[in-house]
Amino acid sequence: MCDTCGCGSSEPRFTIMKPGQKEHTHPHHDHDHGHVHTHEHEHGHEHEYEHTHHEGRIITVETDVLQKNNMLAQRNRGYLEAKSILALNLVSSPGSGKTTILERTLKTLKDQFSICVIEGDQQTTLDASRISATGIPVVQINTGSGCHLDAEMVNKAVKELDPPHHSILMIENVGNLVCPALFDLGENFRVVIVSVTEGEDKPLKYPQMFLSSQVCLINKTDLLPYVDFSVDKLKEYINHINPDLHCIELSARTGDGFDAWIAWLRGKVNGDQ
Amino acid sequence: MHEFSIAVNIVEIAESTALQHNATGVSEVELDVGDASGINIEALEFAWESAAASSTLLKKSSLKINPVPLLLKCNHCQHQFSPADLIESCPSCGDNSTTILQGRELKVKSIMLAGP
Repeated sequence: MCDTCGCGSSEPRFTIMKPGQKEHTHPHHDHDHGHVHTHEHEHGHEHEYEHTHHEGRIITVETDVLQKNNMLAQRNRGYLEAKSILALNLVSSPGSGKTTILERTLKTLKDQFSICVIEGDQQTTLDASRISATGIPVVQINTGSGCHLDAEMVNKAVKELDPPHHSILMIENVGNLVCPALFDLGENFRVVIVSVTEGEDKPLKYPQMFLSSQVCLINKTDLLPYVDFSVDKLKEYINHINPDLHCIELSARTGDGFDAWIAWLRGKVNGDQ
Repeated sequence: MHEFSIAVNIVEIAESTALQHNATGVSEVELDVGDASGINIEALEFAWESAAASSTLLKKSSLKINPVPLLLKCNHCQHQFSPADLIESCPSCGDNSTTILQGRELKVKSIMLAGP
């Protein structure tokens, strides 16, 4: 089903590609149906059919709406745990520097650990190509009109990647501070990235994301002298939403503060989970 | 807008429940939606129209949403309170560290079956 309008399009909901792979094009179908949609409903209660014994019967359901995603996420988690793979889900708004942080992290760690990457974007394999240039195995998920990765996409991408035992799996989510908060992918840790070129009030505006993350990387600190941004204020807001969120200040461009992030990662790989 | 994929999930849950009961239609789907569930109720209602329209069983069904207010417990003094949002500190001791007891719900509570 189409993720935008719910029409019964049979086109795939998402695509998974490796860099350099010939892009399968799935041109999205046209939503211009040549007529105007109206949303008027008749609210009359005259029924033309005979009432059956079902009519008006209330069935208790009590089912979590996200149950299907959560169950798949747990399957992913079990697979990753069995292979001793540390999986991180990197989330942020667009432009916070997720891919640049990832590139520097990979360059720093690739000689010591096996690392694989899943890239999530609505369109293009641009990010996967950047990661591939570092020599790291990567697959790109294109969500099309979808605004977040979900557990099913990651399940398929992991099968495609086939990450080795005792490795690190980095999942770069779609740049969006709202929707990815609700979708567990099966990761060990969710890492939210906020850059100093954004507002300090991001944790207050998007509490779900900061509430559901375990680590916060405060990126682009090399730009602090040029922007009106208070790290203290950001931390004060974070403390309001999630006092347990572990904050690390760094600059992916200069490498300042990167040691603390790498040390945290090393600690988790060595079983300090 | 993740509300659309949420609406699609609701349709699937309601459909499978209705089929288990050999129903030929659903007239109402009742949801509990917490204030801190990350769901915008207006966006969900909007998404529901198209998500339900694609289902033969649900195309005539309405959505009944029970908002669930936030209930927090202060991690310092154990005081329980219902703030307007997650930013508020404990009104009793002023501490910021809280545990969410209620308000993250997002579930299909019941469905009402319709005639053929």
